[in-house]
Amino acid sequence: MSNEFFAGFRPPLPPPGLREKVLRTARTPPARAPLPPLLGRMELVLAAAALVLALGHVAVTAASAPSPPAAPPSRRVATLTGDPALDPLLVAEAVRWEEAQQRRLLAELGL
Amino acid sequence: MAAVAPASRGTGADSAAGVEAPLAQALASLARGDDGSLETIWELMAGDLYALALWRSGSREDAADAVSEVFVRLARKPPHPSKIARPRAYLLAMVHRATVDLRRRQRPTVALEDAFLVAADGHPGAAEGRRLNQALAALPAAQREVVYLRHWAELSFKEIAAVTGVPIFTAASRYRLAVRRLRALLGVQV
Repeated sequence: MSNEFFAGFRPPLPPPGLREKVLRTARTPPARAPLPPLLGRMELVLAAAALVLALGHVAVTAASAPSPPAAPPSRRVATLTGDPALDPLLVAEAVRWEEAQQRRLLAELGL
Repeated sequence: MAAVAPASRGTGADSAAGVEAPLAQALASLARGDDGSLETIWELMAGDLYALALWRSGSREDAADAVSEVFVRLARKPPHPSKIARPRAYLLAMVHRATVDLRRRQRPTVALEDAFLVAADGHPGAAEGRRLNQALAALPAAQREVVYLRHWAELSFKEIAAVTGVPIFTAASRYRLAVRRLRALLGVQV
């Protein structure tokens, strides 16, 4: 197609001034983008709402739940069951079981 | 920076081949940190880069922006010479991508009918030029681009395929369709 259509014509040259503009732009160091804010406005609102909810929850829980009476230091002893009332029953049962085992052993030995 | 004579455009394979060596030297120099090489690259390639962007985009403003984008990229991240087999095709591919990216970001505009070709020195054909530009404006941008790359940049279809990122068959097919349509629009008998 070499000259079938385009004889006597040529594509246009770059416009005057483009050379200086392009070379100046190319040599300009890239501008640093400003650092993004840590929290945007929406995130700030959400964070504040979450904080208010958390504080309210803590306040309501503290006001409604009765605090358990503190045990006197003297009663803070180690127990077998965690319930001092059950301990004697448990000990008595253990003693009975131990005595029964001894009797059975003696009987088996014929003593 | 070596002084370079501006490259003529589309006047023969010799002129295109004559650009490759000084262009490769300028790109290598740029990669070594000599930003004076940008001027050499401009002298060698600005005409082709601007015209290709213009033929692809149909907009003088987009063409100027695409060329500017190419030089900004070259300056900020010069390509390593080992990655460039054909410097001309490499830069034409850069301006092709810059133009396509620009067109994606912007609203499509009506193609210009007076910008793709101008009368060469001493050629009086204003009416003929208007018909030519109207016919070129009627082509799809991708076909018009292939016509430029084949006729004015004198690339092979293999190179055109590499520049535009399409298979060779597609590049050749676009060219064939463009020529057929130009013949029909201009009333040229086959």
